[in-house]
Amino acid sequence: MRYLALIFLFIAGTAYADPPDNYPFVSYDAGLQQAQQKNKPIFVYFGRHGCGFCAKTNKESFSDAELRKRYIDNYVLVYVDAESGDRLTLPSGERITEAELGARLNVFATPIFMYLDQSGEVLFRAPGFKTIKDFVDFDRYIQEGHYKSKSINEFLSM
Amino acid sequence: MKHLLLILCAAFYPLTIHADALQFTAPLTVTTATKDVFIHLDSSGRRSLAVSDEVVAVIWEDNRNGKPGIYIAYHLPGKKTFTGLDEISQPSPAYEPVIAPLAGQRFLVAWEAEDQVWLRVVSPSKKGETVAIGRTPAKQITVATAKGGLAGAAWSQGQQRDAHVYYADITIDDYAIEVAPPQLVDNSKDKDVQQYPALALTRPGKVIAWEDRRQGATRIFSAFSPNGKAFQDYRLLNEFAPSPNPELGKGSGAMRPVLAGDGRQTVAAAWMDKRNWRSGYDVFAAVSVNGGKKFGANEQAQDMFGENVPQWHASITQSPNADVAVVAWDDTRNENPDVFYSLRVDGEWSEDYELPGASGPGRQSHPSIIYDEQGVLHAVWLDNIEGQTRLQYACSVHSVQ
Repeated sequence: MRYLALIFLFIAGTAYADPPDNYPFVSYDAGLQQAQQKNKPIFVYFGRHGCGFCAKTNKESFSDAELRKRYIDNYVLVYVDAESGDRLTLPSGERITEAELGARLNVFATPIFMYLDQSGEVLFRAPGFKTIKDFVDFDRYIQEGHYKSKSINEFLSM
Repeated sequence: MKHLLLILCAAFYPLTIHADALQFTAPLTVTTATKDVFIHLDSSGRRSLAVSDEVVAVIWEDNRNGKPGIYIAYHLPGKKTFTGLDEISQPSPAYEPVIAPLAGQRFLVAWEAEDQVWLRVVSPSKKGETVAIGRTPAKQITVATAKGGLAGAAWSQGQQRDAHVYYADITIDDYAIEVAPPQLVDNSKDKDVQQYPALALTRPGKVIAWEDRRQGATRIFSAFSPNGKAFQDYRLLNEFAPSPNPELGKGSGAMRPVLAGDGRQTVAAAWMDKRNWRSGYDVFAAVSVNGGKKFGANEQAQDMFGENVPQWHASITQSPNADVAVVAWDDTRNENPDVFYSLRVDGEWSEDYELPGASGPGRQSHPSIIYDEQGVLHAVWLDNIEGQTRLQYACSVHSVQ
């Protein structure tokens, strides 16, 4: 069993896909389309290959079944590899790479989590490792509409 | 009139070699864009302009004809403006063009379209046939040329984790292109994703740097091919900050290497590096004095005033005698993006200087720079004011020899 665990760790550590397992993450442009169709806000996860705090977030927060259900139910989930040359189409029709999207949105470190409305406008961004409680609070901030009248700090201090 | 461009760009006396700010001509507009036209200066190795026999050529991608296409414009000797643009790609969407100079006001250009990479020789008066290189799927091609008619191309070929860097020698006869059988640059068995190669041709051979994901974080590797021989084992180019907890990621990332050679022994490399991850990417560099066989220690190219914001879109060039290396990039230390550059003289990087005309109101970004054979530094960049983008050009008013 010990060796199996080591093998698992090795496989997990070298995984190509960096978003958490078993989440229906889609590309940025597909997510914008789905958000319009489903009338849902968008949760964008900017990560990069080998990002330590992305792995920590995946392991300690996104592994939670209740959080997973909450975010799948409430958002269109988008993952952007902040180093990738894969192309996507912006609502304006412009085609850029995932890395260029990160540059334009000032994704200076990873992970950065962004909450967007159905049109793609950024409502709130949260950089760095976040706990399960953080993600639940952020979800309430968006879903209950507090972002319209309060900063995230004002909301959290209520 | 024949030498008006040189008169504008260089005052016929060499600049004393020091690291003061350079003086530049007033910017010229290469092309403007209207609403819903998006100009891009992105490519593997960031080679968007070249100079041949006093002709400056600028290449870019935009969608003015309804789909992404590759365009070129020239600044001819004695003229005050750039020529009108010329579309040089096929009707299908095309991306990430690069350019390198050939003799006689000709240029080797390359781009990506239809999951392939393409080559062409062009000049202000003629365009050669378009030639595909490598196999599909292929992307992110870069090209380099050197005196004596040497030319080569490197690109990433294959699907996802099987995307690896290839190289081919190119023979050019007037406007005709002959491509030698492509070589896999890295023959090791533990390959993972390899992308965004940069290429330099040197007296002892050729050197390629690329992004590589095999070690669990994106790192910069380089490999050297002695003249007439295959590429040798790869070397790590970027020094690495390992994760404090190896179970949680492998460590700092790096991306988008660029190379500049003087055609002889010196090769300068730069890339965006996240070892100081709290402020995003910094521009790091390394210099080889043996034609790319081995690079020296990593050097931070930008100064401390740039450390609080991320740097993006690094481009590098070297003066003809390799006394000066210049790196340009954009960052937001002044709120909106501006183009900055730093000079490496006597092994030391200067303070950061704003590129005149590429700073101030609006968003100036995506620089590409090149020294010509006379030691004049040429630069192009994107200038976005209130959502309208134009492509701007300037050159140094002094030369270095």
